[in-house]
This record gives sequence, C-alpha cells and structure tokens, in this order.
Amino acid sequence: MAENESQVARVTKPVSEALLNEKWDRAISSMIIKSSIGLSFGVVFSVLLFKRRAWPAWVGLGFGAGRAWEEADASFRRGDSPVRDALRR
Amino acid sequence: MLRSSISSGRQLLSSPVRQRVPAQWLSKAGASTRLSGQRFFADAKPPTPATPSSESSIPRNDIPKPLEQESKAPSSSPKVAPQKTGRFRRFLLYLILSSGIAYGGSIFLALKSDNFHDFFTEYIPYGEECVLYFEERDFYRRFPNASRASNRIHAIPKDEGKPVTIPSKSGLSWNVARVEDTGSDASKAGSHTAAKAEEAQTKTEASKPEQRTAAVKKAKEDKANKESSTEPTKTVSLDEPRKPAVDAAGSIGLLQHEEGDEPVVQELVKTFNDIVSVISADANAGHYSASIAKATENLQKIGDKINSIRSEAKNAAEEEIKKAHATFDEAAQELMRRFEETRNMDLAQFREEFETEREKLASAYQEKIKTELSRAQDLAEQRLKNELVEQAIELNRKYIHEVQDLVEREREGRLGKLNELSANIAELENLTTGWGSVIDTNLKTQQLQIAVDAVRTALERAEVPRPFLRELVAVKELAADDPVVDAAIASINPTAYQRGIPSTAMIIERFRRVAGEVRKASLLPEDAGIASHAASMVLSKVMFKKDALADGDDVESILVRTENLLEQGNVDAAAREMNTLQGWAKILSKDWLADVRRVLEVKQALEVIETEARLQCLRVE
Repeated sequence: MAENESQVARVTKPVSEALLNEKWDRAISSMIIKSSIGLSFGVVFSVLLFKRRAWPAWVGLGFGAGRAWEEADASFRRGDSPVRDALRR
Repeated sequence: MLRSSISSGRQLLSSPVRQRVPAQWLSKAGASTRLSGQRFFADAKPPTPATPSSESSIPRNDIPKPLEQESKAPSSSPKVAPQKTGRFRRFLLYLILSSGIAYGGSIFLALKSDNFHDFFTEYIPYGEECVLYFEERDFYRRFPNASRASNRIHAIPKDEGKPVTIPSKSGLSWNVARVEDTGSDASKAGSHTAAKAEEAQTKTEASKPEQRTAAVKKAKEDKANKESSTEPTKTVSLDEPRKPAVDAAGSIGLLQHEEGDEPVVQELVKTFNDIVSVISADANAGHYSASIAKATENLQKIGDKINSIRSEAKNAAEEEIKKAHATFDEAAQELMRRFEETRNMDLAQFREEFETEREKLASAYQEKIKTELSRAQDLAEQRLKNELVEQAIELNRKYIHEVQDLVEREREGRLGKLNELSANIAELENLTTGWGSVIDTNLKTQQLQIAVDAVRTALERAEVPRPFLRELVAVKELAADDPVVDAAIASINPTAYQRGIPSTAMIIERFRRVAGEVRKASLLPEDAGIASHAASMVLSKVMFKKDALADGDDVESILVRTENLLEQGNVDAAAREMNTLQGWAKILSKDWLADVRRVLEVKQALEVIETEARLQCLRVE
C-alpha cells in the first residue's frame, strides 16, 4: 500500500484505472440521493394535496431516479475528456 | 397546409422517443458506432419523412393561380394564346434590350479598361469580335490614310527595280560615235557623245575616260577632213574667170602671157584682150592691126621687163638671205662657244664643291665612329668590372657558407649526442605524461561506471519508488560534458528521477489491477452510456479466458499476451502490446503505460551511459 500513499501524495485526481469505479460510485450515490428526494417530495404532495394516494410518491421516485440516470449517463458519455486532461497534467 | 403542419408536429413529437429507446438497446447489444451516427443524422433532418406532404401542399398553392388568371380573362383558348405570345414578345424584347445594353456597356468598358477587356474577350461569346470591330473603327477614324499608306509601301520596291536595266546603246564602241557625227556638227557630236557617256555612267567607271578621249579624237579628225574637202572647191572657183580670156585670145592673136602673176599685169592683159576682142569683132579690123601689134609687143616687153626686174630682185634677196645665214651661223657658233665656256666653268665649280662636301661628310662620319667606339669600350669595361664585383661577392658567400658548414659539422659531431639525449628525455617525459592521462581517464571511466552502478542499484533495491536525483547528478559531474551522456540524461523524463520509478514487480502487480479494470470495460462501444457500461461490467464476468498464444485484436487477447510478456520480463514488448488498445481500455491503461515508459527511458539512458563509459575505456589506448 506504499504505492497508494505515493499516489495520494502526487495528485488528488484518481488513477486512470480507477476512473470508471469512481464514476460508478458517483452514479449510485446520486441515484440514491435523488430518488429519495423525489420520493419524499412525492410523499409530501400526496399527503398535502392528493389525500394520501400512492401514485404521487411513485411519480416523485421516478423523477428523482430518472434525473440521476440522466446525469450518470452524461458523465459516462463524456467520460474520456476530463480524464485525458488529468493525465496530461 | 393544415395537413402538413399536423404531420410535422407529429414528427417532432414522435422522433425523440423513437430515437432514444432503440439506440440504447442497440448499444447494449454491442452495436457498431455507425448505427448511432445514423440515429443522429435522422435527428438532424426531420423533414425527410415530411417531404411528401410538403410536396403535395406546394402545387396546391400554385395551381389556383393560373386558374384565377384564366377566370379573369373570360375568353376561351384563342385569347389565351395571344396573351402568351404578347408576354413572350415582351420578354424577348426585354431580353434583347438588356443584352444589347449589357454588350454595349461592356464594350465601352472594355475599350476603357484593360482588365475588363481581357475578361470580356476571354469569357463572353462574340465579345472579342465586337471589341475588335470597334477598335478598328476607332483606328480608321483616327488615321484615315492608313490603307493608302500601305499601298505606298508596296510601290516603293518597283521604283527600286527600275535602274537595273541598261540601255542598249550604252557601252563602249567606236561605231556609235561615228554614225552620229556624220549627221551633225563636229562640236555637237562631241557634246552628244559626252552626254551619251554620261548616260552610261552606271557602267564601269574605267571605261568612261577612254570613251571621252575617243570621242574628242574623232571630232578633231572630222574637222580636218572637212577643211581639206573645202579647199579644193575654193581653187576651182578662182580658176573660173580665166576661161573666157583664153577663149577671146584664141579668136585673133590674143595676148598670151603666162608668167604674169602680178595682179596689175593680169588686169592690163585682161583689158587689152577685151579691146582686141572688140576690135576683132569690128568690120575694119585691118586698120588697127599694126598699132595693136605694136601695143602687143610693148606689152610683151613690159612683161619681160617686169620679169627681169623680178628675177633681179629675187637674186638680190637670195644674196641677202645668204649673208644673213652666214651672220646667223657665226652668232650661233659664238653662242655655242660661250655655252661651252660657262658649262666648263660650272662643272669645275661643282666638282670642287662636291669634293669639299665629301670631305666634310667623311670627317663627320669618322668622328661619329670614334665616339661610338669609345663608348662601346667604356661599356665593355664597365660590364667587366661588374662581373668582377659579382664574382667577388659570390666567392665571399661561398666562403662564408663553407665556414658555416664546417662549424656546423663540427658542432653536430660533438653536440649531436647531447641533442639525442635531450630528445630521449623528452620522449620519456611524454610517455610518463601520457600514462598519467591514461590513468586519469581510466579513473574517470571507472568512477563513471561506479556511479552508473550506484544508480542501477538504487533503482533495483528500492521497495518504494525513490528519487535518484543525487546519483544522476554524480554521473553527470563525472561525465564532464560528454555529449552522449548529456543527451542520455536529457532523454529521461524529469518526473522519473524526481519521484523515482517503480520496480518490475510493482509494474506487474499494477498491471493485474489495470487488467481487471480494462476487462470490465472491454465490451464498451465508443460513446457508451451508463446502461452499456453496466452491461459490459456484467457480461465481462461471464466471458471465457483466452489462450496466451491467441492472436486477435480484441482486448482480452491483448491483455493475455501482455501478461505473458511481463512474466517473461520483456517490459518493452509488453508496453508496445498494451499501446495497441483502443477506446476506454486505452484510457484506463494510460497511467500504467506512462509509468512503464518512464522505466524504459531510464533503463535505456543507463545502458547508453554504460556503453559510453566502456567505449571511453577502450579509446584510451
């Protein structure tokens, strides 16, 4: 693990092979956060406006999950450009 | 219109949904990049499906217009045709007018500016002809006599051709001159021939003077001939008056007097003869015959007397002439004698003068010869003296040389050995200094090798990549401006010796990790979304492992080959193999590749430095 130490000392950005892993981490975390936020909004709306029906909560969850999906997709699509910059530094 | 707008709207609504879903499913299935590209293309131009509707809508807008026009013109088909022809005519008129104006304007411009002239004549049909026609008109307006001038130029050579012909009567011949002289005066003929000669001047000039002289001679001859011819006629006319007298005397005892040349006597005889003839014609001639006989006798006497007087005078004159001759002869002799005397005197005088002159000249020449002789002698003496001096100098020099040679020989004989000794000593010194330099260089190269060894051990022994900056500095110091070593060190990436390089074990260990990651991303297409990433991750776990010897361009076989090469210790070939990866796999392996490259650079530089040190070791001897 001495190598890891040196890597940490060198740069804050990830090593090239760890690039995809980090992307996955971010994607999953954002998925969880956004879908939970959407779910909570849906729950609040259903309680306040829709007489405690179930579908607003599902819709909120879907919105959150969809937004997270879209972000992750974008980050994977243009995944190589920031990495290249980091490598050349 | 309505239909088209609705159809386009439906298109807009349907297109993104249709695009998204199949694209992702295609990418999941590992579809090629071309399909996705096509998808974007379809997105970029939505009107392609809408074309039929738009096509159908446009004619609908157009069709009513002619119908309306037809309805406005209420008449049937015959009326439509004139309108069409009228429009066509108007169009034709406008076309002709505009093209005429354009041509006119462009011709005017072409005449004004050269650039436009070039363009116009080159690219516009019939442009060159038009411009040429106008230019020619302009030219003729400026120079109306141009065509006549060209004729005149043609006429000149004809005039030049004329003088070559030579008239038939020119030239040198005596016949021509004579023929002309017979008709006219001598002087006229001369001038005429001269004129003729002048006419024939184009002939040879040498013949000219001869011809002239010939003409003049001929003229003179002709004159003499004429004079001679006139003289006989004159004598004939003088003889004529005597004839009647002879006839009268012949009738009765006429007076005949032959020797009477005197004009007075002649006159007298004439009158007498007349009287006689008169008397003889008279009837009584016998009365006068006696007196007439007397008169004739007297007359005869007078004639005789005259003759005698004449003979006397002649004799006297002859005598006088003889006397005169004698006196003239004497005078002539006297003159001759005098001439002789003067000539003799002159001769003697000239001879004396000649003698004196000769003596003078002889003395002058002798003096000159003497002076020249003396000068020559002086010169010869001077030369001799010079030669003597030169010989003396030469002898001196030779003597000095000989002395020097002798001294040198002597010195070399004794001191030559000393010189040899000193040379030997110098050689020895050189040898010792050379050995010293050899030892120095040996030491240096040894130090260099030791330094390189130090660098190598520092690299090999390190568990953790450590900077080896100090060792490298030592090498550079020892190399002392060796260009090869400098170049080798310069080829190393600075980060390599500032942060150190990983050992081979580390590289292999890191490769294993990198290979896992790369394998995960091995099935990714280019520009892949999150779904295809997930698919690739999942599917790569299920893939079969490949053989080491499989050669293919896919990621799995490249990874296997690289691993094998690394296990064999061939880092260079492994790096090359890894460099052939494409896309995400390449991006993921980029850091590892950079590390490997740095290691390889350092190794190569160290090898170069070592070989250089060895070479210097060999170069010393």
